[in-house]
Amino acid sequence: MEIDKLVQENNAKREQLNEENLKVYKEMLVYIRTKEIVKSERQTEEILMELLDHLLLAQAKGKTAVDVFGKDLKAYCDEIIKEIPRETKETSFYFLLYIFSVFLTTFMLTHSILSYILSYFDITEPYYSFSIGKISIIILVGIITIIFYIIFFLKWLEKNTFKETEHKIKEFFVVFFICAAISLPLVSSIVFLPTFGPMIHVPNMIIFVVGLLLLGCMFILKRTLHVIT
Amino acid sequence: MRSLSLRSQLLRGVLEGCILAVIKEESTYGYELSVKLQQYGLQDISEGSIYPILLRLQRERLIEGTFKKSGLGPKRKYYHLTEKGQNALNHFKEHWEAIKKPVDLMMKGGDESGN
Repeated sequence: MEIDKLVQENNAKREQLNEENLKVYKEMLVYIRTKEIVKSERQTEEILMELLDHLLLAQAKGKTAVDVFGKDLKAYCDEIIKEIPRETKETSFYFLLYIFSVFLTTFMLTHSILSYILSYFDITEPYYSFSIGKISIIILVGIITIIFYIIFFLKWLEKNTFKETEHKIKEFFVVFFICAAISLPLVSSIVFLPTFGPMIHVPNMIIFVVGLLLLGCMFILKRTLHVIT
Repeated sequence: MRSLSLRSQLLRGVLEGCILAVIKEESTYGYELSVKLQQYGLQDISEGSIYPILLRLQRERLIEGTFKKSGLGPKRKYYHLTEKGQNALNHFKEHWEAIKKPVDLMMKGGDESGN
């Protein structure tokens, strides 16, 4: 079954739970879905559906969520989460591609529209200029930076999933500094790297059109992938 | 308290094998599985405890689940054994037989000598 369908059916079926069971199940749902980021979305929604179905059948026999899942619901959810497999590499790749495209299209569209408006008032030229050498290095460093961010995010998530963060302020600063450190190569290469290699001047219109095309591709990709999933 | 944890320790060892055996007998879904386990006499396991196990067995590719219509009801995830699961079940049976016999013997011996 498709993931969207599973979620929809879950929303509809939940109505059949009585007040107390609904409250408990909703907590479990939110908890499991929140921790689910690294995990397979499909497996998560499937197990949530199974737990709901089981709860509904048990409810018909007069049982409560505690009867079915035990008193320590957080511990039960942790056990479930632990056994949900990670997202497959293929899905992760497409997801990353999607994120990268979002950044790219946002940049392309806003930049072209903005500089078109500005060029109308003769503030800038209707071109986007960059040097091949600098741009290629920036793209390379950018990709590596994103990879580092993802690795950091995953490691941090793994470490912090099963414990309450005690020193929230200290935690915040640690995260902030690590992010700053990861961003350093990218920012410094954008700011300090001299332009080298042949210069390219791309008219804004072209950037706008390419941005739109990329956006179109993204929508098509999203549609087809969800059908496959 | 102590007898309860001993019971669950023993159960933990055999539960996966039992679940594989029940699934082999007939393709089944979560709730039905817990009912069957109870019918066989395993009263002490909480109904929800099978789900982490089912997830693990899927991850280890011993069982596979497919959504099917359940008679008059909604689509449910029915589990069946894979070939790997069949092998795992056979191994479990071997180990179980290897342990069951000597333990039964020793338990009988304990009764006779009045201990």
